[in-house]
Amino acid sequence: MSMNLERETAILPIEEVVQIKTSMLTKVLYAGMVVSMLAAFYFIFMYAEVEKTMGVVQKIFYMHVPSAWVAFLAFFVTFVFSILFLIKRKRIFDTYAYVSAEIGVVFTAIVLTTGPIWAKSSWNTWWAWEPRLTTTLILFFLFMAYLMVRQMDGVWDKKARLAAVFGIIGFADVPIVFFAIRWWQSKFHPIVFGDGPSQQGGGIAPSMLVALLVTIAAFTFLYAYLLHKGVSFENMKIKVGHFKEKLRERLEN
Amino acid sequence: MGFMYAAYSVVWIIIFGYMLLIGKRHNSLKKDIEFLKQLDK
Repeated sequence: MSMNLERETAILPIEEVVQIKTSMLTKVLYAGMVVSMLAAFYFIFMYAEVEKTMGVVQKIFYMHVPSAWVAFLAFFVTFVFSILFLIKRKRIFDTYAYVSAEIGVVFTAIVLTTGPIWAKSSWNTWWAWEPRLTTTLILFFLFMAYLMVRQMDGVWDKKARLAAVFGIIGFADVPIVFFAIRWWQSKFHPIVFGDGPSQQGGGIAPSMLVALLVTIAAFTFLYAYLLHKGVSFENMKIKVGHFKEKLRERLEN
Repeated sequence: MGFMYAAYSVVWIIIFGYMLLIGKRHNSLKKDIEFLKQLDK
């Protein structure tokens, strides 16, 4: 009994609390990401044909669309883990939601920078206030606000609850971004798959579709790697925080 | 052609920039752990 009490009040050495080893999963995800990224570059530049109207500039498509896919996936993960956090109140769910939102913001930033570069070459303008561009910009600002909520002072539990609500509401913009060009008339943004009110889907050549799918797979690996790395880092930070608290208490007594 | 290079550069600058940020956070946490180890001795 006394042995157990001693163990409960004692502070374990920091080496036992935090382990800075690279896990097997990190290595697998890293290898998968590198291999699939190299394959993606092969398919983009060697396999996929050059588009007839836009020429080589169309290859921006292979970075622009997978980035948008990862951003949507990341915000969906934030949405799911935010709901789980509000139901179960486990800190790990909050960590997943936070890290995923951060990755989502990074990839939305990629979408919002590659888009205007592509637009300048094909629409002759950097920006147009059309439905998809505007809703994507709103999505970016929503999740920037989410990250700012996370940086606020206060108890983590309160911040996490507020952020979870923000994450759930913010995700509502994702389907709006996707369906924007299908719901509202858009003179600029082309529909590739399916039809819209103002235009029919242009479709895609088989070689381009293969290159797109390989790039999407590579970007998904990158997302999984960043998420795993980010979550393990956040967990480590939380453990170090607890350790500091215990150490402070011991030094004060 | 220039637009394509610009877009690809931007993509990889942002991705590597983010990875660099993660690396920096890791290093600062490692330094923190090293400091705690010394304090704990």
